[in-house]
Amino acid sequence: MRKCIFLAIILALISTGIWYWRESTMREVIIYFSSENGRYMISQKKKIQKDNIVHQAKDVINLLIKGPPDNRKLKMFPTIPEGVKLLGVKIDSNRVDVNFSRALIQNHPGGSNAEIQTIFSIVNSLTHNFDQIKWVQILVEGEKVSTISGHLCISFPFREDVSLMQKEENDSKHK
Amino acid sequence: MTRINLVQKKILAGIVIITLLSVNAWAENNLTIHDNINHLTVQVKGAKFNNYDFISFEDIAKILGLEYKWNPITDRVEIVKEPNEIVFVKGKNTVLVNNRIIQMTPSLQLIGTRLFIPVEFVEAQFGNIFNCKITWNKQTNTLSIDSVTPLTSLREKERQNIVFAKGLEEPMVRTYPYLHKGEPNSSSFAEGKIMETGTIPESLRIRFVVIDPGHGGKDPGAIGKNGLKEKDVNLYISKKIKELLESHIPGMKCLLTRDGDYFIPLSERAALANYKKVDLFISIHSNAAFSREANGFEVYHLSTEACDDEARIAAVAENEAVNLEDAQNKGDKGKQLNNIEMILGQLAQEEFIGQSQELSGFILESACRKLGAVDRGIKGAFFMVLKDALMPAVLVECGFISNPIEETNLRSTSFKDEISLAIAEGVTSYINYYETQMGLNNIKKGENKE
Repeated sequence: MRKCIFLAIILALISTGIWYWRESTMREVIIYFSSENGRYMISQKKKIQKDNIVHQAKDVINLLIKGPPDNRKLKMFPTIPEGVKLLGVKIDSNRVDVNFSRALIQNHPGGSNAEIQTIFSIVNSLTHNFDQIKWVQILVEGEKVSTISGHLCISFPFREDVSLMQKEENDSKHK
Repeated sequence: MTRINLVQKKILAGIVIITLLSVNAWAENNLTIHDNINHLTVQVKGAKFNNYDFISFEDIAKILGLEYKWNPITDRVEIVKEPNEIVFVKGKNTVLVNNRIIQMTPSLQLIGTRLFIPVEFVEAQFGNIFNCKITWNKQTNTLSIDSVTPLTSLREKERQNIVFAKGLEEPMVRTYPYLHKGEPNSSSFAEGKIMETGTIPESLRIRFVVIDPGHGGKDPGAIGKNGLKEKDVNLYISKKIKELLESHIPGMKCLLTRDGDYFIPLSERAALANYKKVDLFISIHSNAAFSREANGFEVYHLSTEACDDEARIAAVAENEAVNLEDAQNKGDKGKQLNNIEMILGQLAQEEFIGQSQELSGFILESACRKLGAVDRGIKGAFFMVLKDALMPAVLVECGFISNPIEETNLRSTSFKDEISLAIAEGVTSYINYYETQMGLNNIKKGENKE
């Protein structure tokens, strides 16, 4: 009996130790999703592995692609069309090139609103979490493209757009 | 230790700020201008900043008999004296002299309502360019110059703005009437009276508008849950707006970028408007969002705020250098000028953002009032279809096809007619407002009532 209790304590200690160790290698990031009426973006906190900046940026984009949790109460909506894959991230001083598969264009729902949400959820999620990143260039299959769904020009890098980063309170006020 | 450091830092910062303030302060500086030809000497008010001497742009232009065009919206100044041309942009150190980039430090400065140029730049460059002798003596504050205009009879020249862009065969000249503030007839602007059109050309009236139905052909745009295609909605509303504007405003002509279901590249839409030299560009779209709840009306104008100017200029430098050379070899003036525009990082539409915002406001207000639509506001973004337009240009998103209720509305002919009427009335209000400001006659009230 005593042995059993002793073993349980040891096990508990080891698992807490592992948990702490894992926690210390994680960092918190903020991912931006679309609000219900598409006016603003809603932030969600997530954890990713502490690693070099390229890996971290990849993790952030992959979380964005994965979308918000499927919970109606949160009233968060994805901003990346279904089937999109991240092909690569390249960082050159303060600019990051994010390379997506062609589904970004092919599966995009269209509309200025959706296009703005797609672009600035990518741009803001990256610039917000990494001080080093000031400019984001979106690429499709490794190439610069002029537009995603025929509205905004994405041939050039974008900087963070803070006007879209509003609280949900603002959002519901206008509904 | 840290405390002392902090105090020391504060003192140091204070000293730096004081030094900066004292060095960077503007000072008035009387310059002596000596005319080498007529042996006349006059005093002009110059300025001193950071130990650099400045002369007023107006004065030097008068003395050398140069015509210049200053666009107060873009802060761009052009001197054209065949075959020479100099282009400045206030606040930029890059100057284009006959299409060659020359550095100027410091840049053009605006003090009050007057522009100032560094005297040293005038001495170093203007003599060569305009083939005259200019020497500057910093000690005696004297600029010796081969004056073209007798210094005693200096006359104010009319200021014009010339703009160049894709699709234009030749530069377009626009005179900015508000540059003539203080002239006798300016009082009636404020009183809102109908002005005599004597000094203001009829061509300033807005009577030629391009309506651009978004998407088309192989590009359906957004598609609703129940299958409604954005391209069809856009075309119907655009055709209706054309009909309404043409029947309600005397002399109005509207041009559609497409009048059927076919594809046109984005770049050709503004190019058509530029080529035809129309007064307004209105792109008609229907919106879509990731959430089906999103609803309402929004109007967009161009904004370059989130956009990388330097990358834009660098891209031009990389891609267009060859074109520029080609153009120079072929003597293609239009192309050269278009490239100048690009080198200066200027987009044609940037000159019209203010007017585009006003037009957006009138359209949005009318739509929300008449349709009871949810007002999502006037927004700016870097739009493909707006960035090259050489006239006020807006993109209207007439409701969300992705919202099932709005999709049903956008399917109904009577609702689309109401949207068209609301937009047409918004455009008419803008035209009325603009022409009243310009001192042109009002479009009579009630003309646009059904």
